[in-house]
Amino acid sequence: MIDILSLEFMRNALLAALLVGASAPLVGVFLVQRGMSLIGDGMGHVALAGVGIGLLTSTSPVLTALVVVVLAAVAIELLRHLGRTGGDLALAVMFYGGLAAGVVIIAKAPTGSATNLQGYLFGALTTVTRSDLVQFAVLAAVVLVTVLVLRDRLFAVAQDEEYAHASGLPVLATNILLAVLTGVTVVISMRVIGLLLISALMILPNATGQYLGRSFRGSLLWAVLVGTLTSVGGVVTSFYADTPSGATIVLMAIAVFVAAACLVTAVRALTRRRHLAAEAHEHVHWEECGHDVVLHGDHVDFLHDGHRHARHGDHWDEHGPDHTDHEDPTLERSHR
Amino acid sequence: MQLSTTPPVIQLSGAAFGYGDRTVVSGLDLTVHRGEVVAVLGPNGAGKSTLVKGLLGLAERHDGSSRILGHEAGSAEARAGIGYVPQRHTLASAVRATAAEIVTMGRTVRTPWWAPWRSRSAADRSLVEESLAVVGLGDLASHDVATLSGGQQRRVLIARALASEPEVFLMDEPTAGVDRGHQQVLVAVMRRLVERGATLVIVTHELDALAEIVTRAVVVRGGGISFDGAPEQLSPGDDAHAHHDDEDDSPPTSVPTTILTTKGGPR
Ligand SMILES: Nc1ncnc2c1ncn2[C@@H]1O[C@H](COP(=O)(O)OP(=O)(O)OP(=O)(O)O)[C@@H](O)[C@H]1O
Ligand SMILES: [Mg+2]
Ligand SMILES: [Zn+2]
Ligand SMILES: [Zn+2]
Ligand SMILES: [Zn+2]
Ligand SMILES: [Zn+2]
Repeated sequence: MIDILSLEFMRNALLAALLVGASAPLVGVFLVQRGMSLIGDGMGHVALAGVGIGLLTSTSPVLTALVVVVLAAVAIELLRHLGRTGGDLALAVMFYGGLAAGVVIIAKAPTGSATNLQGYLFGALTTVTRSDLVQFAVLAAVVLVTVLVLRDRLFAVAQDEEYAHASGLPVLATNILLAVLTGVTVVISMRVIGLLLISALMILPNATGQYLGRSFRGSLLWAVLVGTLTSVGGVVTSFYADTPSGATIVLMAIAVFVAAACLVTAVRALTRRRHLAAEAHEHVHWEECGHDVVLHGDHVDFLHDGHRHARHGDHWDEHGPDHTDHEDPTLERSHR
Repeated sequence: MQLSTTPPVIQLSGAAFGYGDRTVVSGLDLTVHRGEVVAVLGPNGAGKSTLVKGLLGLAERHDGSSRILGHEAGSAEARAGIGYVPQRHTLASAVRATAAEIVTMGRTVRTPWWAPWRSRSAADRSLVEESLAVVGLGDLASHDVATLSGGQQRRVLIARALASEPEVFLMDEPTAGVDRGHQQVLVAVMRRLVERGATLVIVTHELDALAEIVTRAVVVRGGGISFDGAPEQLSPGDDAHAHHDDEDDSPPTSVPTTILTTKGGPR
């Protein structure tokens, strides 16, 4: 570990990984919530055209990509808003046109090369410069602060656009903002993760968070933790294994997802073995006994005094304190 | 009465609402004053939800005028005074959200643009808690809404509207799927809201459940308002489930009997 940190490019790469690992899930969760998980992927395609323009004109590719991506973000949301038939086609033209234009321009640019292109698409450790890092840090700070301040609005608009609109929230502006944040995150990713893989880091940690958390907030915190850990871990692994960093990070994020899914399933299977009979009580729960009920797999639990009780033959089963949400249908009644 | 000094809560004159180039309801004249509880009745597809969406500025206005609390429907000022309970079947989305997080949206929509983080204040949080408790969901506040039953999800949506402390509630079938016990709880809640000065517009197919608070019935049918008056004067012919109009989805007069006699069915 010491030898890694003594290398300047590795210090830069690790910091860049940390920034993108935290930003990507934070923005991605709202995309998942809106059912637009793959929009980040399209943004990555478009960003390549910006990179190409930067290389061709010898300006910072980070800045040119940022401009292109912000324009694309506004265009995407306006197209969605207008709901024009053919909006889908327009998106396809934008995404694939951006990718194709990027590849062609980079091939023709004085400083462009095949390795260069591969680095932008799949991530490369050695490419993070000091000045890149400063730009990434500023952009990541913008993303983090914006999401922190506006998280309730982003949540409300993504969760129920109609209600948010009816209640006076600026829905279109919020959606454009989210698209711009997505674009900015794509730009931050372009060194260590790569433009074709960033979308995975927006989505996979959130998929893991859904297994580990119990609320939107809880799942999101897990996702950010998983995102930063896999991102940094992937960079370290990629250094020792000499593999492209972005692809390594994504494989690691998938491994963590699978591990979390198995772990949670195993824990639930173990809990299932335990059968807890509730302390005897005289009261007989029924459909309209007045206690709140909650669906629990194929039966209902009755809630009272901080307990969840379910009928089991001649007695009542304890199905956990009423703040746990074990909605897993495999959880009940394994005891005979 | 001071009715002359305050504008009517809802004022429709000659209003028509629809989507795109299709007008669903037209010729609407309706004036609702503070403290009224209006039940909107009518068969499926008659345009009840469209009427409500028109008042919210969600459906397009094709004609006439429509004002809420003295402001153009759909304007920011009008929207700031409305609590909307949509006609929705499920609250589930691709990510987890607890009942409390959903109800917090009712506070989020009331935050000023210059301080959007305000919906986390202690006062806001206790309003959210109180709203959930009032609809009988206090125990389920931290549950994932996707795991709640249909009736419980409807109550979450009602709590969300309550949390936004509106002057006028526009509720689209708020009691659909809610059990009788909790319907009574909701009626009690609505009565208290009216006592505190709120105005309620409730789309419903179950007038009986709300009979004790409803002061006025409006029947939407055949592309307009076909009845407007005291609920007692509602004749069976005006009732929500009576017949006709090609546009409306009226119950069929005869039921094909094949599926009912197929073997394997109950004998
Ligand atoms: N978003 C929409 N775009 C186009 N047409 C719509 C839209 N929403 C509803 N309609 C049409 O408007 C008509 C009235 O629908 P609406 O939902 O207002 O009926 P409703 O009275 O609320 O019925 P229900 O009792 O089933 O809720 C229907 O014919 C429907 O097809
Ligand atoms: Mg309706
Ligand atoms: Zn009971
Ligand atoms: Zn019990
Ligand atoms: Zn038992
Ligand atoms: Zn149970």
